[in-house]
Amino acid sequence: MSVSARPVSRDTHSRRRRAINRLVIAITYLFAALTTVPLLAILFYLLVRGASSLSIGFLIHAPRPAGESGGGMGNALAGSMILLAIAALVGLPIGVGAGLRLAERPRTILSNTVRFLADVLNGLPSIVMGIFAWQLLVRPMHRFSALAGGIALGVMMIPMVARTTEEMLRLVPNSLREAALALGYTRWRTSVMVVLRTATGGIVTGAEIQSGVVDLARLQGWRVAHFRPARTSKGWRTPVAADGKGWPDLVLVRERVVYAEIKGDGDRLREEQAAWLQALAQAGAEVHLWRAEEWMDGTVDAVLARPL
Amino acid sequence: MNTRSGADRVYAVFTTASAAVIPIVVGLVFIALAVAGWPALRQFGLSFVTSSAWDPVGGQFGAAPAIYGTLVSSALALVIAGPLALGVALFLVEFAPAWLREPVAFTVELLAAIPSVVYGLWGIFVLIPLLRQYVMPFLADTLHLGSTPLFSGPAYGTSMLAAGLILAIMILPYIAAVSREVLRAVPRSQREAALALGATRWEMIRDAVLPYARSGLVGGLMLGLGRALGETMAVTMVIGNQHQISASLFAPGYTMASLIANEFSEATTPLHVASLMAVGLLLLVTTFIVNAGARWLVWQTARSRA
Repeated sequence: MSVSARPVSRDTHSRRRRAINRLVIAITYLFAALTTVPLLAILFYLLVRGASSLSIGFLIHAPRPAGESGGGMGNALAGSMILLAIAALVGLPIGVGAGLRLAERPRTILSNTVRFLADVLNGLPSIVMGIFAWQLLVRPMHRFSALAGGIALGVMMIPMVARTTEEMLRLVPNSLREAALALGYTRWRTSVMVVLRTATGGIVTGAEIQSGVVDLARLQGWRVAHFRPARTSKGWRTPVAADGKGWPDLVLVRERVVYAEIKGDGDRLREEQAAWLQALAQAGAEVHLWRAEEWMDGTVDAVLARPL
Repeated sequence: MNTRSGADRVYAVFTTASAAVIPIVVGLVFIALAVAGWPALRQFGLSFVTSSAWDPVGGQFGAAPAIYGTLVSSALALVIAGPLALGVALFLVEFAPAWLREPVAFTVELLAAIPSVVYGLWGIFVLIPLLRQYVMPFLADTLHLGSTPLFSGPAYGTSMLAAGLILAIMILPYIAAVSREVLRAVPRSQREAALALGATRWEMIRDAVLPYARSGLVGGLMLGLGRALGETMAVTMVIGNQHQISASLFAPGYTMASLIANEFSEATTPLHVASLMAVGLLLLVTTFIVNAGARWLVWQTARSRA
């Protein structure tokens, strides 16, 4: 970047620099477009050519002999499922275990080596892993099998699962771990029950929140009445027969009465539930709608701890 | 620590053992392939990597065309995908308006999630006809490159060029993703200093960002190279699978990975199997070195994050 002495030439110089700048920016735009085009082309191609032959029959039937039309990919689909199940059985426990170790003792020689080799292993061609599995499993067993395939796939999963687990565990705040240990949890319970559960906590079901709320309330001296959802109608008990549908999940009593409707991630408040909550609120009752958020951020604790 | 319960000890042993599985698997892969490929390496010696004779019936095995094809198709892919990926990464980190950033990043990442065999199908039914009818005649006749050795010979479609193009599309997202991470790791102060000195944004990138990120970007390219070297299905479907070494990109060829994929289930003689295992060992050693080097470079950059 030499600055020329004459003002005129500095002008052309900076104009040139700005032009180059614009040119580069334009090129990156062009490259971004060039990159997204193949994907859209491939997706479009698959949709146009594949959608017409897709049907339930195609998914569940076995293929016909070569030369005959019709048939399906039922066996291939079933095979994939079996393979996946075996692979998960092998790969998940070991992978998660390794991930826990990497996250909990990140700076040891073992962890550093494992992390490095896991990344390298991830990049090895699957065909190399394939003939490795053949040599170690198929050759001694004298036959190809879903078991051999599943184990091979499971082994290939381990480094990926381990690294993903580690990354997810890193996001769990350390204070949570410390709190559990301070409460006298052993290390493995801290890791498995607190840290791992928080990390996988992406999706919390209503039942999980409900059992948590019930436990917490009982501990604090509340009497709890809970009503099973209408779906399991067998054991469905409700004090109001006629308009029973939509009655709040929990009724908590301790010097005051609290009605709580529990919703897991992905559940929506149904109309009849909303109607009950509204009616109760209008009658002056204390009504709460508790979702995963309220359960996690301490709102529930605050409501339950509040004295009359 | 001294009040550890029995369950804690079991837990510690389990997680440590799980972690130890990974180095053990790496070691086992090397040992298993070396043992299985040894008979072929002993019999043919150095000619295994220099000879072009691959004759299962006559019991002659030389992997030179496959090694050549692997290197050339991967290099071609790297030449095509490298600049594109770097451009996309720069676009995403430096230039893209906020509303475009996420959709483009998502699309590029989606490219990485498409199974290899789907790329192969697309290659056979879309890319190859396109090459045969338009691109190859254009390169050879319209641009008059047909007389150069690189673009000579009949245009079948299935070719080293098709393999290189498919590979380029497949490794692009990996390189772009790593480059993006690396560029993001460049400290703000580095950029601000360049801008404060009056640099345009491109000058800032050229003089302050790229030098800082260089080893990480090279690492990203090598990761892509590692993928390209070992990619199997898509390449097998478009490269033509001929045991020949030709200077022309229009000519069909072979790669180590597709050689194993094609012949493994049909290999009957022990020597044939051993030869394929030896090819696997060569592929393993190559990809291991490339990947290990790449990881090391990327880590160096990421660790120096200020």
